[in-house]
Amino acid sequence: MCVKVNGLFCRCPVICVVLGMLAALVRTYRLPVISKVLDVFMALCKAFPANLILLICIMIYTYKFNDFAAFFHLDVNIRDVNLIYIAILGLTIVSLSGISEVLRSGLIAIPKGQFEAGYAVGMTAFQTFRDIIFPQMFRVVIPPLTNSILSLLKITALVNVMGVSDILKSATDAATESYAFLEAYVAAALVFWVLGIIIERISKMLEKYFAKSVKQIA
Amino acid sequence: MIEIKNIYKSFDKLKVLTGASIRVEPHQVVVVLGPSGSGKTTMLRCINFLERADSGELTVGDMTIDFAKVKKKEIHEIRKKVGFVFQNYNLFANKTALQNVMHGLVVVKKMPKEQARKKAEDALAWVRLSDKLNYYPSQLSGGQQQRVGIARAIALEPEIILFDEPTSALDPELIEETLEVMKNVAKQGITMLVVTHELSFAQDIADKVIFMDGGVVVEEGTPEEIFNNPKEERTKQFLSRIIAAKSFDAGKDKFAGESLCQEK
Repeated sequence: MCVKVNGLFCRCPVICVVLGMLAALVRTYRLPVISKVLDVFMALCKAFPANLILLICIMIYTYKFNDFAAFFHLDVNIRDVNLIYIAILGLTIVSLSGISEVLRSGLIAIPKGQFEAGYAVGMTAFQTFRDIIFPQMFRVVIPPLTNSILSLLKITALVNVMGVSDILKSATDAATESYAFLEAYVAAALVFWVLGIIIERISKMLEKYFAKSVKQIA
Repeated sequence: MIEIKNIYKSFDKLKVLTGASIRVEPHQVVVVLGPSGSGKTTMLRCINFLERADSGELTVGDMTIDFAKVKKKEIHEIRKKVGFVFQNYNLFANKTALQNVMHGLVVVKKMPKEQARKKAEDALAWVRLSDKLNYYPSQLSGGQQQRVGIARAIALEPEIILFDEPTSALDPELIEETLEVMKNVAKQGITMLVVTHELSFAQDIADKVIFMDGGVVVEEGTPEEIFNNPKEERTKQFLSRIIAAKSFDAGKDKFAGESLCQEK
């Protein structure tokens, strides 16, 4: 169970940041068609409460999964799919727009001259992004991105509406055997706290690493 | 050699370039003058495709392209042949002075790192910044940043370097050091196309002066011809305005100096 829970936390932020980055890039460089589709999708995602999205995901999954599989000619049964993947999908939909917007705000904060300088030196758009834009953008988004990842960590407690184990659910499951609910909740709180501290520390380290090129503000 | 023929460019309804043509021979220094809004900067940016011209023809070295139907690959090729120095320096903010110069050599020219470092150090020594190799742009003055910008452009050994008002964002006392470096660039025989308001630079260094107004080339010639004997009415007006403004500035300084003396 512990492994499952960890998987949820480790995979979800990574997936969100990678997809969010791609979405932010598509929307900033304004790729035709896809950027329009994403604009609408992001606006929708932002509007729904997290547990509603999770409930809709699990409903679609239980009622429609076999139809989906048949449509794409997949040879899988609903029982073969671990619920945790649906939880990851749901949490990704919930957090993706927020994380993507954080990354996009970093991207549009970079002055146009930095792009132009890269092109003028003879670098391609990709090289300019990789070597010049991304490092500067990343420094800007570390604090808000840390916030987003922390909220993502906290809303994982909602996935028990799907019947998936998370930190809180594992704690209460353990408590039902011994009726030690208070202890269980405190234990769950401790786990969240430790995870929070770890994320915070990583964020501070990254911030320090990327702050070299910037003057310290007195 | 670089040549532009009949370049047209408009931003929405505003027509900025309306058929300008210029030609710069190898090792020549050409200075473009003109009032603001005359399209000089836009023309320069079009050469490097930082702005896309609507139509016209561009020749850089042995490559000729049509602005209306240029391919991505051709744009990339031309950018490699052309250096650019920006008005507001545009150094890579996340890289030190040395890395700013080195980066293009390593990534674009595929030079081995050690060789690139050597070359970048030489270029920075040449603009007298050997003591600032490991400084980030935010730690350098405007004049120093612009000199790094110039070093970054020369290190890549382009066929021509375009200067877009390189001293316009600088304090008066920092303009001199930058102009000094640009004069040295000219002495090296590097082909230069310079947009500037520094008439003294044009007078001393330019092989050819081009006067632009309203999106076209109004007049071109040697500095002597343009400054001492302009043929077009618009050139005369522009020069007299600039010279009047300069002498007014000079007069003001003198006046301030005199009054100080009197107080003493």
